[in-house]
Amino acid sequence: MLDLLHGVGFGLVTASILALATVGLSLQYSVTNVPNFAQGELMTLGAYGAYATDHLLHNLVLEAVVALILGGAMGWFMNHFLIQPFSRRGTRGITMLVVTLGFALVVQNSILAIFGGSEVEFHLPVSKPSHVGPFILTSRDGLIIVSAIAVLLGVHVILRYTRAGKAMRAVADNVDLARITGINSGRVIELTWLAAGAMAGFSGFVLGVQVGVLTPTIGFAFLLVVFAAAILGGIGQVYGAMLGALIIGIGMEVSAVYIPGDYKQTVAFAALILTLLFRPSGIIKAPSRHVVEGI
Amino acid sequence: MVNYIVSSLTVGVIVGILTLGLNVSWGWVGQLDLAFYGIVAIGAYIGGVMELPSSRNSGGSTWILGLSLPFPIALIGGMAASALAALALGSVALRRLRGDYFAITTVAFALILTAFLTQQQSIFNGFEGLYGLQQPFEGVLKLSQSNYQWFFLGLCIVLLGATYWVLQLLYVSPFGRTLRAIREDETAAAAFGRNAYAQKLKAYVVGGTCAGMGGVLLASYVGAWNPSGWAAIETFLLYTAIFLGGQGNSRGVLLGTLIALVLIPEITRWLPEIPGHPDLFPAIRNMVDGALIIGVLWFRPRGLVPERQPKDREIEQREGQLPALTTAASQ
Amino acid sequence: MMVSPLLEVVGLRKNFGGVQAVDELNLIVAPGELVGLIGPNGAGKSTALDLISGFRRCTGGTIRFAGNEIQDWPAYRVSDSGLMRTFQSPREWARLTVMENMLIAAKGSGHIGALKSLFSRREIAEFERRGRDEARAFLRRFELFQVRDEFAGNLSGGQKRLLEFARISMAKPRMVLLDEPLAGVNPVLQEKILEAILDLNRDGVTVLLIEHNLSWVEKACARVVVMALGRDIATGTMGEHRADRAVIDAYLGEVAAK
Repeated sequence: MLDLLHGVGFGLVTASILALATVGLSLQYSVTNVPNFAQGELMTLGAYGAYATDHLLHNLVLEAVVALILGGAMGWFMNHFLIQPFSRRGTRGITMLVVTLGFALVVQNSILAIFGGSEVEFHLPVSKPSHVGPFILTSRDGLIIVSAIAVLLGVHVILRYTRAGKAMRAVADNVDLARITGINSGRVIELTWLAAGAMAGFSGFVLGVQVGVLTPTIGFAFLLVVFAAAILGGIGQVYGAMLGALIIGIGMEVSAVYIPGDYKQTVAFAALILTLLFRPSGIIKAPSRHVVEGI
Repeated sequence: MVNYIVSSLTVGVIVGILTLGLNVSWGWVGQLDLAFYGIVAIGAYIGGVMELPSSRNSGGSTWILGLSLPFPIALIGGMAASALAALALGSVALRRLRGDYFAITTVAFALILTAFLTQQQSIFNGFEGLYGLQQPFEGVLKLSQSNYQWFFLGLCIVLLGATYWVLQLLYVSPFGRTLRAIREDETAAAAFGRNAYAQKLKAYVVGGTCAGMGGVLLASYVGAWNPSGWAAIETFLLYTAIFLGGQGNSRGVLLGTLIALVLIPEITRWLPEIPGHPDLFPAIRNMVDGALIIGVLWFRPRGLVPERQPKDREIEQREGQLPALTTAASQ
Repeated sequence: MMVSPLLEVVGLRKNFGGVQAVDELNLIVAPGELVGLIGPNGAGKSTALDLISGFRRCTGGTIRFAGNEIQDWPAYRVSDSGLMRTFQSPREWARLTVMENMLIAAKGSGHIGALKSLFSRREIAEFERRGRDEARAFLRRFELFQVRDEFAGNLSGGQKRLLEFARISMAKPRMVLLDEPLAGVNPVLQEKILEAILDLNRDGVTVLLIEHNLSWVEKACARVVVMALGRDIATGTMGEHRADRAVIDAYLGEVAAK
């Protein structure tokens, strides 16, 4: 029983990291409708950026900021130079997905070329694990959870109460209607890519901190788990993403109590496949549009 | 030097078989299959364990089966295994019938498969994989090494030719036409009696069979097969060839394979290696591929060799119903 | 009714998250009839058509076609059984040629799978030849023969509409559901389409069509069903409907609501 609780504790940490990435992905997808397979690379970028900064200056906050900026900048760059031009051409759907995949290839291998393929250690000073209630957490874990909650709260506030957030929600719901009411959808989309990229960069940094070891494929490997959480929660649903991340994060760590740890990801993928089989719209359904059901 | 060229060509021909198979999913049906190399791997593994003797005497390695069967049977076994794997995966992944979910599910499958086979020593010897695979027909022919490679190249070319011929037949058949209609407009296809799910699944199995053939050949060529040889990235490189050459088009796909998967790797191989950065040139090669895909999709989304169907006018003439003169006059 | 109906809809219901789009619809079509379905906007006509053709799942009621209960059937199964439909805007297969569009419609071509294509090549070749001959005849009738090798996506709007009719004629259905065949069509083309529909009906195909152009409907259809608020409110000739208080109220209601 204790093991189980410990698993839940670890799960909270994983869920926090996952939530950051998943909310970014869901937000971006809900507003732009582009399945971004380069999301993982934005995470890797954030992680390596922080790592490089760490070599110069051992400042956690600075590293976090660097990760945010790099991720946000790359997200904006992707949208401006890749997504928009292709989108104006009429490219959509799977082809756009392939474009993001090609870009992912370029980014991932750039990082590989610069930093090499072998693992690099990314260590942060960490306190001894202490008992927080029924869980065993280190100060690092605590930081991760707190920062995730802060960011998610921030996202919630922005979406709910600011003009930009409401514009995002309007565009996510119905882009034509949003345009008619005077919202500059292009600007909203730009902003969304920036924000989602920043969240991805930050989540990459946090992931690197927790895992302690970086490889150029770290983001891509995590991406599938992010998709699993996003789909479970309801693709495009920001609050669903938080829920999905929580379930998958805790599920992964708890499962490690009972089956070999190498299968953690498999648990996430199994959840993904089960979701697609039995409830493809996810836990929080998007309001139904005119979908042809009978085929 | 000659040996080197033969070797490159052989790999190129085998990869050609693989891209033709992958093209069935993408060019004919319009689905983005990212598990393809996993299905290739299954074919390679099963073919391998059918061909290898029992693992009991191998000194520590373990694998299932081990039947010491001759190559042709192992080849068919590998193809059948891949077809079944495609059937199993496809029946799940195609359910939702939505492009991006299909892509995601296939990646998930590929990653689960890699994790599972790497972990489970007893099935295909885990991380180390299979080794000591015999070269096809070696015992029967008893050729010298330099002569044998010509034989093997010839064998691969024959199999590529057969694959090409069968796929062409299917493409121009009513079945191929049905798939293309589903690709163009699934709703309209349903309005004309087409069960999109069933047809896509069939196409997926066809592609999977080609994957199996390529897998067995690849493993036989290298003599070994382990998880490091079939990462998810490999599937994506095949797509470079398909986009470059022209989707849905067997000839174009082979041209794309030649350019993207034979010429470009060969050219980059001749670049000097920079000490201390062993990953640099593979990384550059992959970056070029990624950039190539984006470039092709931008400048020539149809590929170098666009899709072409025989015109009814030509078919009419061929059947002798309308003399060429009259057709011209009726313009 | 002396002859058993070809299509029988009983108590059909469809609920869209709170909105009852179709509310106890009853409808009967006898074999060989050419029936019109009219009603104010929002009456649920298109939804009903989607339900009958299997493109949407109903929340209640029964649909019987040629003796089978089809309300749970997916769209491809319904069309395969001989109950076919067109769409409000033409849905051609754009990157296939006009001729290929026709060949896909050929009856039975959907049942030729991969194995048959490989191993019964002579039989298939014979089937294709007959298909092409038939297709050419239909294309000539609809003045599309000259463009038969064009990608269907490159045709003009009017040609695409005619292709829809050529295609569905080629498929030799037992019954067709036409969803606003005249939407956005110029008067000259309207005549051609009227011809095409009457021809179809003369060839033995039962027709149920949705249309807003009431004078055209009067010319084409012997019997007309009126729908309002998700259900049928009257059936008979246009003349009868013109004098019917309930029908007038339904349409006037729409006018008043605007």
